[in-house]
Order: sequence, then C-alpha cells, then structure tokens
Amino acid sequence: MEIHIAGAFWVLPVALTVLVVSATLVLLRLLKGPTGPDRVVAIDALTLLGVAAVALGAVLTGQVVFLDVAVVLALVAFLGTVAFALLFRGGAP
Amino acid sequence: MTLSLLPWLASALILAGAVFCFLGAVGVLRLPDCYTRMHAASKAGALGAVLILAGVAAASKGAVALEAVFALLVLLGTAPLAAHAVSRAAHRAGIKPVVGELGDALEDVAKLDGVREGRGLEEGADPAEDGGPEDGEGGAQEDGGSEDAEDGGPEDGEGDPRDTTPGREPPGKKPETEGTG
Repeated sequence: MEIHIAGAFWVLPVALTVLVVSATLVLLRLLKGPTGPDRVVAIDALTLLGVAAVALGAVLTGQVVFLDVAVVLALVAFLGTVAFALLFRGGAP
Repeated sequence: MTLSLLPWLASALILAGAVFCFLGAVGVLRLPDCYTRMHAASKAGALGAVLILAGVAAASKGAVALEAVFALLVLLGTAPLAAHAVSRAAHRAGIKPVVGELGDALEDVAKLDGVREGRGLEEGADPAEDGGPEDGEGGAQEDGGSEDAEDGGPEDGEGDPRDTTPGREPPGKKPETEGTG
C-alpha cells in the first residue's frame, strides 16, 4: 500500500519512541505490581501497546499483513485476559 | 484539497494515539489500586491504539481502511469486556478498592447476590424485628426445635440443612481414619 503522511521522517520515530517509553512504564508496573490483578492489568496494557506498535509497523513497512497481525493480537490478548480472570476465582495470588 | 488534508490527518491521529498510549501507561504506573489502573489501561490505552489504527487507515488514503477499521472494532469490542472481567474477578477474589466517602457499590451488589442465593444478609443489615418467621439464620439455631416447628416457612426449609449439616458429623468415620495408623 502507498503511505502518505505529512512529516513522516519525524512523526513515526517520535510515535515509536513514545510507545517504547510507555511500554517501559507499564513493564515497571508489571514487575512491581503488589497483587495479581495489577500484573494482569499491566499485561493487558502491554498488549494494547503491542497492537499500536504493530499498526505503526504497518505504516513503516507498507505491508498490509501487519493489520491482520494486529487483529489476531487483540483477540489473543482478550482471550488471555479472560483466562487470567478465571484464574482469580479461588482468591487473588 | 483532500489530497493534501489526509496526510496531515494521518500524522495528527498517530501522534494523538501515541500521546494517549503514554497517558495510559503513566496511569497504569501511578494510580493507587488495580481498579483505577484498569480504568487507565482500558480507556486511555485502547483509545491510543484505536487512534493509531485510524491513522493507519488515513495514511493509506483508504486503501487498507477495511482491515484497519476491523482491527479498530475488535479493539473497541474486546477491551471493555476484558477490563470488566478482570476487575470483577479481582473484586470477587477479595481485593479491596481504595474508595472515598461514597463507599464500595459492588460490595452491596455482592451482598444482594448472597441474599438471592439464600445465604442471608451479612452482619450489618439484619432485618430481625421480633424473631419473625422469615429470619432463617435466627430460627435455625440448635437450641430449640419447637420454634422451627412453629415457623414452618419455606425459607427455613432452605436454611436448615445448610446450617446444621456442618455441626453434625456422621458417627463412625473417626475410627476408620485413625485405626489405619
């Protein structure tokens, strides 16, 4: 596909840098989180950031396939989060 | 006109999405308990990813708009469901939210669910006025069987075996478990 973005030489690196910084912040919460649901929330936020990063990868490379990857990643993240919710039935770890 | 407007819209959407992702990450790191972190992750994070996908759809001038909008709709459909499932599971697992003066509304809902399942109210809201027949826990004590016979309510029929069966151990199990050693 053809990509037309105004200021592509700085918009895409800045967006990727911001995504990497926010992934670092979420990773701090994932390592620090006192209870189990905190870590699950951090994993959910990380997969949302991953979907955003894959969409940016579609813009960077011009491959349409990355959008299918984004769809599948969102669905798998949803299934994983619901599976973690089922894990908490016997009490939070 | 539109040929020059759409690349600007794409870059603005991508930058706004990155900013919202950053705000969601700061919220996940800094908010006090897991419910407010859920709020930041599911609203701001999902909005950031959705804005970036819309920026992808605008950057291709609508060539991949179908795929991008499909991914956007999947995100908008699944992110609130996942957030609701995890926060409700966390509340049922006993994690207390940091609440203000208005209290915990979902705890009242859980108490009402307990009433509906026949477990009776918790200790704070006991509607016992003068030993009425609808009070299942008060009438099902082990001191007198005559009160239970007088009451005869359908609620006591549900409450009696659940309250009395843990107290009455069936005789004859203890010699089997202890005699093998």
